[in-house]
Amino acid sequence: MHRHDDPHSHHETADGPARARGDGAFRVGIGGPVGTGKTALVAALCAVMSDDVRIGVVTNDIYTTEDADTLKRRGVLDASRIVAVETGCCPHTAIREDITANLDAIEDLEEREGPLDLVLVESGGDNLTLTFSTGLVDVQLFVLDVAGGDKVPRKGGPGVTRSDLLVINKIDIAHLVHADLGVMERDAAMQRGDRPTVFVSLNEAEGAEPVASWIRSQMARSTAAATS
Amino acid sequence: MSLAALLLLADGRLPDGTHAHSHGLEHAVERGRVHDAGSLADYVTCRLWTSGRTDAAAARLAAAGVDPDGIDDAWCVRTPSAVARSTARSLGRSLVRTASHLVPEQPIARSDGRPPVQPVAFGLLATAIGCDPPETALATVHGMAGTLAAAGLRLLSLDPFDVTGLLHDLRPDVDAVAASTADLGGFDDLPHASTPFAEVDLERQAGMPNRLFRS
Ligand SMILES: Nc1nc2c(ncn2[C@@H]2O[C@H](COP(=O)(O)OP(=O)(O)OP(=O)(O)O)[C@@H](O)[C@H]2O)c(=O)[nH]1
Ligand SMILES: [Mg+2]
Repeated sequence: MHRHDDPHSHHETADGPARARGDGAFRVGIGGPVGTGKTALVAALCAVMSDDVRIGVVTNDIYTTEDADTLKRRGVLDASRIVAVETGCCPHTAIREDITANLDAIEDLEEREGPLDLVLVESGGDNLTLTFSTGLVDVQLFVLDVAGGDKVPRKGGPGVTRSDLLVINKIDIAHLVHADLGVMERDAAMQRGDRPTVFVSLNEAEGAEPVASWIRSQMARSTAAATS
Repeated sequence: MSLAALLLLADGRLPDGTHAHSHGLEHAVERGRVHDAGSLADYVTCRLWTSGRTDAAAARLAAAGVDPDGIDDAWCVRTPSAVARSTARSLGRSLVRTASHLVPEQPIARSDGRPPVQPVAFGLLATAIGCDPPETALATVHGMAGTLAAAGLRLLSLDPFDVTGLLHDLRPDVDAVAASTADLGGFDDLPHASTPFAEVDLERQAGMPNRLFRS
C-alpha cells in the first residue's frame, strides 16, 4: 500500500517539493467542533485498520497534548507513532493558513517511523468554518455529533459543505437529545450534494467501519492515480 | 531592492510558523509584568532594542552574503536560553520550507544540513526574493514588533485600536533599531545587548502546563 518504491512518486521537480498525492503516506484530516468525537474516531480507526495499514497520528491541541496523551493511554497505536502539535491560540491557522508546524511533525514522524501508509491529522476543536489546506492533507473528514442538535448540518459552513466525508457521531444518544437523524440526513444531503455522509456511534471501535472503508477506497484511488 | 518583495516578507500572513509563538510574552503576562497596552509597549520596546537588534543584525548580515554558518554560530553564542535557540531553529525550519516553494533554486541550509536559526534563514530568504540588507533588517524588526503585539492582543484581550496605536508609536524605534545594524563588518560584530527577563520568560514559559503559545 505504501508508495515509496514507486518511481512516479519522485517529486523533486523544478517547482520544488510541492505536495502531490502519492508523496509519502496518504494524509487524512479530521476536523470538527469541540467534543464531537474526533479523538474517538482516530482511536477507532487505529483499532480497526492498524492490522494491515501502517498508521501515524498527528494531533493538534491549542495548549495541551491532551488528545495525544489520550490516544497513547488507550494503546491503540505505538506511542511513538503519535505526535502532538501545539497550535497557539488559533487551531484553524495551523491546519490552513500556516501549516508549517504540521508539515514538520509529519515529516519527522515519517522519517522516524516510516514508511507509513496513512497519517491521520486531528485538528483542534473549532467551528463550522474549519477546513484543512490541501497542502496538508489529501482528504478531509468533518465530525459532528447529534448532541449539538439536529440543526447543525442545516447551518452549513465550509466544514459541513466542503469536507470529503461528513461523519455524524453519537447516534446512540440521539433519542436522549431529541435529535432527528432523518432531518440531519436530509439537511446534510441538501448542503453537500454528492458528497457522502455517514452516521456512526464510536462507543465501540467497530462503529468506525464505514469511515475506515471510505478511507481505504480513497487510498486505493490515490495509489491508482499515482501509478497511472 | 523590490518594495513588493519587502511587503511580502513583512506580511504577517507569510506562512512562517510565528503565529503560534509569543517569545516569552505569555509568561510575562502570567507574572503580571505585562498587563495592559502601556506595559506591552514597554516590553516590545525592550525586546526590539535587545534580542530584536541582534536578530536584525543577523538577518542583515545573511542578506549581505556573510557566511551563514558563522552568523548562526555567533547568534547562538549570544542567546543563552536553550529554549530561545531551539525555537529559533524550529522557526528557521519553517522558513526553509517556505523558501523551498518560493525560491527552490536557492535552497537554504547550514552546511551541516540543519536549518539555520530564524533570523539567518529570514535574511537568506529576503535576499533570495529581492530585498536588500537594510530592508531585511527593517522587516525583521517589524516582524518581531508585530508578532509580540499580536500575541499581547490575544493574551490580554486588548482593544485592537490600542495595539495598532502602540505599533504606530513604535515606528521610530523600529526604524532606529533597523538602522543601528548598519556598518557591521562581519558576524563577530553581531550586537549582544542582553535582556535577562526575556530569557527567563522563554525558559519559564516552556514549563507552563496550560500555555496558549508554543513559546
Ligand atoms: N455516547 C457517545 N459518546 C461518545 C461517542 N464518541 C465519543 N463520545 C464521547 O464524547 C466525548 C468527546 O469525545 P472526543 O473523542 O474526545 O471528542 P473530540 O472531538 O476529540 O474533542 P476535542 O478534541 O476536545 O475537540 C468523550 O467523552 C467520548 O467518550 C459516541 O459515539 N457516543
Ligand atoms: Mg480530540
